Amino acid sequence: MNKLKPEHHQEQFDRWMAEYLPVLHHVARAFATGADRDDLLQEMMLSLWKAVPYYRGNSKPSTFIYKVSHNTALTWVRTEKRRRVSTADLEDFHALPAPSVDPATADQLEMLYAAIRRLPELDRSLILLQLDGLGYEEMAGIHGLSISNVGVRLNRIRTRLIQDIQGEEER
Amino acid sequence: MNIESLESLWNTPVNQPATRQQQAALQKFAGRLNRERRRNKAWLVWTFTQLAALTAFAIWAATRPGKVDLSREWGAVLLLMVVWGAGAALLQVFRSSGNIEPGTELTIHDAVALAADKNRRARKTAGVLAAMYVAAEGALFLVANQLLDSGKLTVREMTSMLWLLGGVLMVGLVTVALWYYKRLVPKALHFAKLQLQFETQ
Repeated sequence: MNKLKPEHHQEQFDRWMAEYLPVLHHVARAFATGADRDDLLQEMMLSLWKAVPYYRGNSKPSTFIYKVSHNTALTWVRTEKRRRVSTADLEDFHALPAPSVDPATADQLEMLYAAIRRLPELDRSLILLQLDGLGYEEMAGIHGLSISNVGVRLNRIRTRLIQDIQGEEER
Repeated sequence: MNIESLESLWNTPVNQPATRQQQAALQKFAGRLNRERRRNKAWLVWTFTQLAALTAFAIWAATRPGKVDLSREWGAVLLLMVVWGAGAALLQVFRSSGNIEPGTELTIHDAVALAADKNRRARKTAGVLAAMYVAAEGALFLVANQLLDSGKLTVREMTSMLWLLGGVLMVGLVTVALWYYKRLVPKALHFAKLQLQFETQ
């Protein structure tokens, strides 16, 4: 394989980050909480950095990025001793919504993320892809499942997710 | 509530990280990348410091004043073999950890299977490495005793040598044990759980 020149490697990575960093934030928020979220985000960025030379343009960049980031999140295990959460970390990764943001919307969103985190890892990944607007075919290609299997799973996941959120709201 | 309402909630600006957050993440990543490179270098230096220390000791032991009688002092040769065998295994671990799996072209299902397989191989390598560290400790004691018997080493020299080199080996053994129990085993359990999720509907 031809190795990318360092400056091209960096350029490609910067382009991906400019466009897809919000996606990584979504994944990190759906798979981890607190300081772990920051660690997972960094882990996904590292995976993408290492994966840059392997992107050959056979698929859309978005598909490639979803595949690498979701694979990292799914296989990520928190094994190191929890580090102390510094004020700076809290400021960076639990940033309060902008003043113009409706607090009720922020609460609902947090409730949605909490419900997603209660799902099994694979289900989490599938519902994230759906919420990000991917079609069944693309999800099936990313995960290596059949399209019908994705459909069956997503039906079940949606029902569970909605029931879970409604249950939380009633409490 | 339905999936459409969740999708519209998902697409609100609240769900977009602030520019400040994104910049902080990128800055942090640049630092992380540098730390990663430094850690890899330190790992290599540490490994070859151990190898060099034990090799220097074995050469020193073999060339001490007095006739070298390999039939009585073969422990040094054994020690060298074990140490360089462990060195080769460690280098293999280093090479495989530095390379990303070409799993980026694979589906997540296959990438998880590949990761589980890689984890199995890593646990096996960790077992071999641990056995080699234990064998090197044994060989070190053997060499020390042979040198003491042949009068090339005083009891005091032998004691300090065992503390120093034995300590270096012990640190290596503990590192391998931590790698196995704190990293590889939890990952193996996690991969098994994931594979089960793929198999069940």
